[in-house]
Amino acid sequence: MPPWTEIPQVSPFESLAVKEMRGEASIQESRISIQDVSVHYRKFRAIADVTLDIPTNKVTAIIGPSGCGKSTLLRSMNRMTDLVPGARVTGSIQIDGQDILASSIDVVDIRRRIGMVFQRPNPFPKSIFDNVAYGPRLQGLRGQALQERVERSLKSAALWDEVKDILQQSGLALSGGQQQRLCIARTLAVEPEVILMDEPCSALDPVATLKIEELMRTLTADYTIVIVTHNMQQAARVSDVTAMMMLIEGQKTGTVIEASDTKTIFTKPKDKRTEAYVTGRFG
Amino acid sequence: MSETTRRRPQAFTRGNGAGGFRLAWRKGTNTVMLALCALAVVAGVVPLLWILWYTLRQGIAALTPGFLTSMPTPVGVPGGGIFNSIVGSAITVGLGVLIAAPVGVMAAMFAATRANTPLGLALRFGTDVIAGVPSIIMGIFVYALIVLPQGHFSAFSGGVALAFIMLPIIIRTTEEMLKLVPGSLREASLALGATEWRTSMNVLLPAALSGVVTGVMLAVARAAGEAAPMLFTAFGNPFLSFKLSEPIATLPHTIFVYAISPYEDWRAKAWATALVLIALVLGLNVLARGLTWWRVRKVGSVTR
Repeated sequence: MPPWTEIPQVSPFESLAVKEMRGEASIQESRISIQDVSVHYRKFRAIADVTLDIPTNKVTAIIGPSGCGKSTLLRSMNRMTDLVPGARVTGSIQIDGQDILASSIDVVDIRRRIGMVFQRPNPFPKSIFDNVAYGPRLQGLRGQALQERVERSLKSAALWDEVKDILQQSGLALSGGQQQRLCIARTLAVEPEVILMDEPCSALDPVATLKIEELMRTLTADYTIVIVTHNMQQAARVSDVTAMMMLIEGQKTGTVIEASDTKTIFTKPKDKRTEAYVTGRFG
Repeated sequence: MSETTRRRPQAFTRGNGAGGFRLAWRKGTNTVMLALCALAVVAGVVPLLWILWYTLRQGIAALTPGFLTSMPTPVGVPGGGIFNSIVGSAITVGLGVLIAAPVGVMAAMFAATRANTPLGLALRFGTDVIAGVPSIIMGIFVYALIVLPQGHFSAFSGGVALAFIMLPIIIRTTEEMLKLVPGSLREASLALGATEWRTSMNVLLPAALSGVVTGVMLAVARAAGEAAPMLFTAFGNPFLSFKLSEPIATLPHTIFVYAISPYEDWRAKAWATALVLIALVLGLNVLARGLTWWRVRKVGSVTR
């Protein structure tokens, strides 16, 4: 092989792109492959037999009526369901060929590679700088490298211009929309591969919502995004692929009933229930 | 909207038939009960005020200017003070905090994140049991544990006894404070790839810090006033000592020794020492609660 294909190992967290250049892996169409996943909370089955492929560098939206398990599905992707006592996830969730539900997996590493932004902005009660630097500091970054990482993350989250002079102020002093962008910057700072967003705009005003939707589109260049939303218009605006979830007939368990590209879901859905939901007949 | 049945408006005059007497009776009962409750509050507060007042009156007489800074004098010699007791209390309580605070905070961090597991429940139960053990039994326990093997009384054993007494208070308040930190902060930290330990140390504990400090202050206030364990461990010392391996004087123990003595001037000094101790304990309690109140006013909640 030509010498210039020998890429020196720069970090322990090798990205798929580096591996692909070396010929050790091929960037697959789907970043996350979910197969027959069910989640039980003690005796209650929240979601059943979900099979879904999350494509790389695209925005995937998970929509559906309240209580059908959208958040549960999202949280199972980065093992946040482990935090609920009595939670059990069966099936397999493959990322780069590894099943993250296996017990041998390092959960801490998974959560770094798959970041999450929550419904209500939850910045730490620290300064703006310390909020964004929290993740990189865990990885051992210090000094100049840390400063650069923080600045890069804030710029990617479209927040740098607004906060570059007030980095030492508390993160809680920002407005709701700014706090959510701070949380996004904080997630970007650990350089994840996938960003999961659990109804990120539901606590924000329309102007802030629009800013974050624009942000999502620019972020797809480097990241894979999965967003749960109960706002159908948002899903139609922002996503490339949409998965429709609904409760199984007569049960309290949810599942994915249809998933394809957004245009098809909203114009020619295959399932009658999807059609009823997206046309607003119920929801 | 469903139809509401319309009722003819009633005249709100007093003594209006059957309604009037019932209403007056209820109002009367209300007033009487409120008065009884107020009386109960007064009955609870009066003894406290009376103790403070009485101690102040008795103690202020023997409180000479050099009382806090001079050493005890032999019986009958005027002057003298309790400097060695103050130093001794500071050393034993300080040692107790040094032992109990790290252990207590770490135990509370563990219990707060595993609240409903068997180990977490066992910890909470164990803490409550230790909190209920009489302090004299703590003293005897430390006597058997440290004093007997060492063969002498020591300030070290006194500090250990106080640590055992402070431990359950610190664990309980720290655990409560940690539980008050919003769960979303813990989730956010874990979602960034932080371990449980890092999350507890770098996010939860700083957010709950002021509450934890308050808990430690309350524990100190409690331990500073414990006399019974000192009888078996620190044992008291008429001379000034800074050594951990020797017996040491403490404020409550000195009160005990002076109060039961047959000498008039020593009994007067006991009152003065009691006044100093009450001022210390009361001051710490008021400071701790004042800090909490100020925190709530400033930030809107007990945690940051």
